[in-house]
Amino acid sequence: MKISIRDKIHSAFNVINGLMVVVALTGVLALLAVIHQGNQAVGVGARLNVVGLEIEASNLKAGEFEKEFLLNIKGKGVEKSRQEYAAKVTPEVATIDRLCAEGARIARTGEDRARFQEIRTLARVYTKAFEGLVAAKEKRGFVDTGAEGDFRNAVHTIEAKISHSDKGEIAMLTLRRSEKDYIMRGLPELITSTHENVKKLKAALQAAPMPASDRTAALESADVYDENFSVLVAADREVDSKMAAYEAAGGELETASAAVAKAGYKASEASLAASSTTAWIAILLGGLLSVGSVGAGIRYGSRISTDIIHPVKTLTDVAERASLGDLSLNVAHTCDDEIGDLQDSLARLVTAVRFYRTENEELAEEMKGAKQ
Amino acid sequence: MSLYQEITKISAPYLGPAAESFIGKQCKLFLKIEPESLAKHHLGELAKWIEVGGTRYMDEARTKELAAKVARA
Repeated sequence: MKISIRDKIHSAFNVINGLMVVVALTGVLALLAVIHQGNQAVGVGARLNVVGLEIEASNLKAGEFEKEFLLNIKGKGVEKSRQEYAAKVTPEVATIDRLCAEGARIARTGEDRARFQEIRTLARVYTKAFEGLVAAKEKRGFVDTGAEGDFRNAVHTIEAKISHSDKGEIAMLTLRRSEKDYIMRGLPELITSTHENVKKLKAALQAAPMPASDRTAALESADVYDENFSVLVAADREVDSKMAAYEAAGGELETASAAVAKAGYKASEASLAASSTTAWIAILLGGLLSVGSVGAGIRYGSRISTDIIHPVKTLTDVAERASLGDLSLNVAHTCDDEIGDLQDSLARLVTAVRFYRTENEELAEEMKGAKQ
Repeated sequence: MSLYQEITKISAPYLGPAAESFIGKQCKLFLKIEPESLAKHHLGELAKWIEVGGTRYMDEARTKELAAKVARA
């Protein structure tokens, strides 16, 4: 099939235009990818980071209310302190739960979703542990309430019943000292020493010169005291146990909250890094394609020069020399386009001129011979 | 169309306006016949003389190409 010069030039420009379109499309696609990843970084990564920080903030607020509750028990009593501070912990935990649900919804990876689910579970464990601690504190009471209140009543009862026995009063004072030491320090040996002192008090009461009915009443009061002291010790142990569970749950929740905030920050960073990578790939691809376009331009320019300009120059040279009478040049057929047609035409013309010139020369020779 | 006219037509792309004169000359000079009396059995001989005489005016490749075409006509 004959390919015209017009077709050749068109195909060259089409190739270059095609490459330019690919460069432009690569640029547009890269920009779209960068925009998408930017949105991911801001819309998802940053939001996860904020959610993580809000969870941490709610956790800290809940921690603040717990501490206030524990600190204010002595000043305001268990009930008032519970109403004023402990009650505020639940809404903060509810906020944590809501934030975790949002975080799990927007998180892009299964790992991040699992983190938020873990916090929800830990928040429930923490709430239960805190409620257990509050209940234990209420059960133990303070001064006039709970186990401590009952114990104080028992103390007052026994104190009233031994007021007329010197030995009994001395034993009672020793007992109170060990009891107060226990309440202040909570050491196990002070529990034993208090129980021992109850026994000593009872022995002192047995030996004291007092009416039998008073002795019996005082000994019964000593037993009630001992029993109430045991209840108080049990309540203290329960408080300790609940406190340990609550502190462990609080610690785990705090660690998980900090981890999720970090994960959000990392997700944001990862999206920004991906965005940067895409931009660099686009720059590299764009550069390579641009170099390819320039290379294609040079190649097609050279091809146009070889296929068109060089044959035209040869033809011009042949025509110039033929017009000046030099018919020694041969016109070669080098291509199948309009130039090729022109080469054939010029070749025919040169051949015809050579033929006629030879014929004329031969005729002239014949005439010359005939004259002689 | 006579065979001579047909051969002239085949030669025209190679010799241009000189085709008719060139073929006529080869017939008269080497085949010793009038161009109009050119017949099929002359074509082999004519092709040979075209190849010999044509190189005076054309390059060898074009001459051989024309001779081959004439021989096949």
